[in-house]
Amino acid sequence: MMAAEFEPVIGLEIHVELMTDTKLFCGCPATFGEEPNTQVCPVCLGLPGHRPLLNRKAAEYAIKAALALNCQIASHTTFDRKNYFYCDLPKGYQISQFFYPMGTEGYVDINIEGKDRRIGLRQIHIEEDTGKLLHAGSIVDANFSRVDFNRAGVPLIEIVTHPDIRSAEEAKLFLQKLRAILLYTGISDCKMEEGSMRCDANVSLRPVGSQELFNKTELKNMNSFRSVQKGIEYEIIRQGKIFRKGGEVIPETRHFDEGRGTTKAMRSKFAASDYRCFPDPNVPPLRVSEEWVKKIAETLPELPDARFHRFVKLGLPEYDAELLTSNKELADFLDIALTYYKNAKTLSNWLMGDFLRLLNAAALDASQSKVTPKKLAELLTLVDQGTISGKIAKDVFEEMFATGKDPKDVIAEKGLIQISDTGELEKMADEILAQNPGSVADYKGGKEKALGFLVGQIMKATRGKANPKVANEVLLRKLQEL
Amino acid sequence: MVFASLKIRELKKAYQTNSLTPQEVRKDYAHKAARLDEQYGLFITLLKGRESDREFIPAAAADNLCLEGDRTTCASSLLTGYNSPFSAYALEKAMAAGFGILGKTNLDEFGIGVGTGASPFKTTHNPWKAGYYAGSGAAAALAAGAVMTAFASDARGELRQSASYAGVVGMKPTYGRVSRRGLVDYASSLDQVGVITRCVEDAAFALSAISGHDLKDPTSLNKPVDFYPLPKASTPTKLACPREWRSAEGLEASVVKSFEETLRKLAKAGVEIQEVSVPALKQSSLVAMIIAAVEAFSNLANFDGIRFGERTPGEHLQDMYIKTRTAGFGQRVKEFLTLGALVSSGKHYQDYFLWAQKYRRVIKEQLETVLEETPFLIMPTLPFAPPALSRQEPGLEYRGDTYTSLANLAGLPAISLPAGIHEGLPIGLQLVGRPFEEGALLNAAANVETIISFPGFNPEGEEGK
Repeated sequence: MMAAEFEPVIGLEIHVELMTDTKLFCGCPATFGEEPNTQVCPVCLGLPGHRPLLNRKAAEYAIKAALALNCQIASHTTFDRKNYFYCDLPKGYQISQFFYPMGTEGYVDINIEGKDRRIGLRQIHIEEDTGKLLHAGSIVDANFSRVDFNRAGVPLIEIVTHPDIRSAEEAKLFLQKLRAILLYTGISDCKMEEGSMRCDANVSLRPVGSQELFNKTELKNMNSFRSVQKGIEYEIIRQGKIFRKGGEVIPETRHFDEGRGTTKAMRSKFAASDYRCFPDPNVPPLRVSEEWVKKIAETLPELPDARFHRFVKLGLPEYDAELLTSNKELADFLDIALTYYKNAKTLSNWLMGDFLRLLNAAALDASQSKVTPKKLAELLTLVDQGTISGKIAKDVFEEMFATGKDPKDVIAEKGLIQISDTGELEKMADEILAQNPGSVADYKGGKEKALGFLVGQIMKATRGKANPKVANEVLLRKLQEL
Repeated sequence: MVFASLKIRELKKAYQTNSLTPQEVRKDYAHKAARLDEQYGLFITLLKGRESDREFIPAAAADNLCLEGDRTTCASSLLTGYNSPFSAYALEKAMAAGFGILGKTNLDEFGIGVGTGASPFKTTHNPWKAGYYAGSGAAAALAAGAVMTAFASDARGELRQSASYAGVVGMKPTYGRVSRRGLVDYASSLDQVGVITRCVEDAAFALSAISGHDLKDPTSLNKPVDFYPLPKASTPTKLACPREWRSAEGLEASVVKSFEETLRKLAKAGVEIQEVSVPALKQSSLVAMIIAAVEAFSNLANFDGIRFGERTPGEHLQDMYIKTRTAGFGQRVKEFLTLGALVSSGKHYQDYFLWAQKYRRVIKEQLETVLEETPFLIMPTLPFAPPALSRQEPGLEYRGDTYTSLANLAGLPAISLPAGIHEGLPIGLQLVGRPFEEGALLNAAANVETIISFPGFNPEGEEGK
C-alpha cells in the first residue's frame, strides 16, 4: 500500500469570476454567452493608448470574499503586470495582484470522516480574465483558431491554498465548502461547468513524516468537483508508481482527460515562464481603509459554519444541518419558514425529503419554488391541528409544488379535510362492524389485531380522510358496547 | 501678413477684433505646413485641421498621440495603416480650446529617442542648419514656423531635448497634470504629454488648455489649473544649480560656455544662483533607461498583429509573433525591448530592475530636499549642441538624457528654453520646479526668458516683406 510510504501534498488554485455588471478595467458588460467580440472596447482589446480604470465593485467583492474566508485584508494593494505572450491575452500582460494581494492568510474549515480539518489559504487576489480561443477542429490539428475577447477583462479572484490538502477527497470537500461560502457572499455564481469557478491542483508526494516538498505537477482542465477528485486520485497513483520505481516526478503542467480519467503532459505555451512582474504604472495602488472594510463586513450574511451551529442548536441532527447549510437557498427557505412554524426538525424533514426530491426532479433551487416558506408552514400547522393527516399532507404538498396554491385551497378543492367528527365516524363504524362480523368475533375472541383491520376499513371507506386516532377510539367503544 | 511672430494671445485678439479670420489663418498655415514639411521632413500625416468658427490656433501633434479620423503610426511600420477609434484626451481638450491640428509630426519610433533617425518614414532636419538633428518633427515644426504649438510626449526628456535642438520652448508638466489617455506611451511611469511653443507665454496657454483631471485616466490628478494668464513675477527668482552638471559624460565645451554665460547674465540681472548638490544626477539616465526599457517591453507587448497593426503570417502562433514583430519594429526599438527583457529577467531582475526602482526613490528624495529649500533647479538641457545627422556614435542618445530624465523619474515639471547659439545652432537650458507648481515654474521661466532675450529664429524671415 502506497499510503503507508507516501503522503500526497496538494495545493489548489481556484479562479472565481466575480458577478459585477462590468469588466475589471472598462465599462464593457461582463455577461456570459454573448456573440463573440461584441462586448469589447479599446481597453479590454488592449488598443494603443488605452487606459485601465479599476472597477471598485470588483475590489469590494474581492474584499467580501477575503473576509468570508478569514483573510487579513491589505490596507495597501497594488495591481501588477504579469508579462507573457499568448493570443488570448490582449495586452501581452495580465493585470493581477502580485506584490500586495487583497487578502492573505485565511482558512476554510472542513469536516472529513467526522474529523475537523483547517485548510490554510495563502492569498486571495484580483486579476483579469483572458479571452477564449475557438479552434477550427481539435486543438491539435486546427488550421486556424479565432479569439473571442468578450471574456477578456472580466474580473476574477484567485484563491491560493497552502499545500495543506492530503487527499483527493479532502480537495473535493474543500472546494464544495469554498463554493458554499462564496455563494453565501453572492460575489459569484461559482458554476464549474460554465467556467465561473475553475480549479487547478498542484500535486506532489513525499515520504510520510517528511516536511520536504518534492517536485509537483500542476493539473489543469478539471471542470467539475468530480474531475478534481478523479484527476488528483489519478495523479497520486501515477506519481506513486514513479516513486516506487525510484524515479523522479517531472515538474510540469498536466491536462486532465475527462473521458479517460487520466492526466497527460501538456505542451507548455512558451517554455520558461518568467513573468517579469512589476506594478502596473497605469493603475495606481488601491488604498483600503478600515471604514471601507467595515462597511463591506456589514453586508456579509451569516456564513455556512455559523449557520450550521445555529441549526444544530435548534435541534437539527448534524447531518441535516450540514446538508441544509451547504444548500443556501434551502437553508434560507428553512430560516424564513421558521418564523411561521417553530418545529425545526419537522421542517427539516420536509425540506430534505419531499421538497428536495421535487426540486431535484424539476431542476429548481428552493428560491425558485412556487411553494413559499409561509405556505409550507401553514400546511404543517394544519397537520398539527389534525385538519389533515401527515399522509394526506404529502399529496397536498405535491399539488402546492405544482401549482403554488394555498394548502387550505388544495384541501378544500379536493375535499381532503380529515373526518374527526365522531357522529359521522360512529355511523360509519356501525356499518363496518355490521359488514365484518368475522373480525368482530375475532376481536371478541382476543385477537386485538382485528381492530387494526377494522380501522383500516374506515380509512379505506373515507379514502384516508378519517382521523385514525378518532376512528380507533370510536371503534373500540362500539366493540365494547357490543 | 506675418503670423509667425504672433503670440497665441495676439492671434486670439486678432480674431476678436476681426483683423484675422480663422479661415484665412487655417488656409495659410495648412499651405505653409505642407511646404515646410517637404523642406524639413516634419510630418508623418498632414491634416486639414478642423477649425471652429471663432478660432484657429495652428498646432501639430506628435504621431504617438491618437487622433480619431486618420492614422496614428507612432512612427512604426507596424502601425502604418492603424486608425485609432478614439482620440487622446489632451488633443480633445486642445481642439476644444481652439487649437487646429494640421498634422501628426515625425518622431523616433514610439518616441524612443530624439533624432527621428529611428523613424521608418522620414528624417527630420533642423531648420536652423540642414543636416543637423532637430530632435523631433514637432520641435522642428515650431522652429520652422509651421505651427504655433505642438503637443508631444516626454518620457526621458525627448520633448525638452528636441525643443533645445530646435531653439524653442518645451515644457513637460508634473506627472498627473495632463491625461495620458490616448498617448501611446512606451514608459507609462515616466511619460507625460507636454507642449512645444515659441515662447513661455504660449507654453502657459497651451499647457493650461490640455491640463485637468481625466476621470478615465487614474494617473491624472484633480488639481486646479491656474497658470494662464501668468501673473507678473514680482521678485527676482532664486535658482538652485546642481554642481554635478559639470561632471556629465561627454559634456561639450560649447554647452559649458553657453551655460556659464547664461548664469552670469542671470546673476547680473539679480537672479540668485545657489550651488547645490544632487549626487543622484549621475545615475539618473541609467535608472531611467532601465525602467523605461522594462516598461517598453511590457507596453509594446500588445503589438502582436492579432487585433490591429500589420501582421506577418507565420507557421504557428509563436512564429507569427516573431515574424510580425521582427518586420514591424525597427532596429532601435528591438534593441530597447531586448534590453528591457534582459534587465527584468529572473537572473537580472534584482540587480538591475529592482535596483533602478529603488534608486528612483533616492533621486526623488534628493530632488525634494533641494527643491524644498529653493523652488527651482537650473541645468543645461543637453550636454552637447545639436549633433550632425551623420554623427553615429554609440551612447549619444543615452547621454542626451543626462539632465532631463531626473524630472521624469521624480514626476516634476520641467521646461527647456533656448539660451545660446553655437555655430548657428541653438543651445538650451532647463528649469525644474516643484510638483503641481507649474504657475511658479512658468513665471520663473518667463523671467529667465526676458533676461536672456534669445534672438529667436525666423526661417521665414523674409516672408511678408
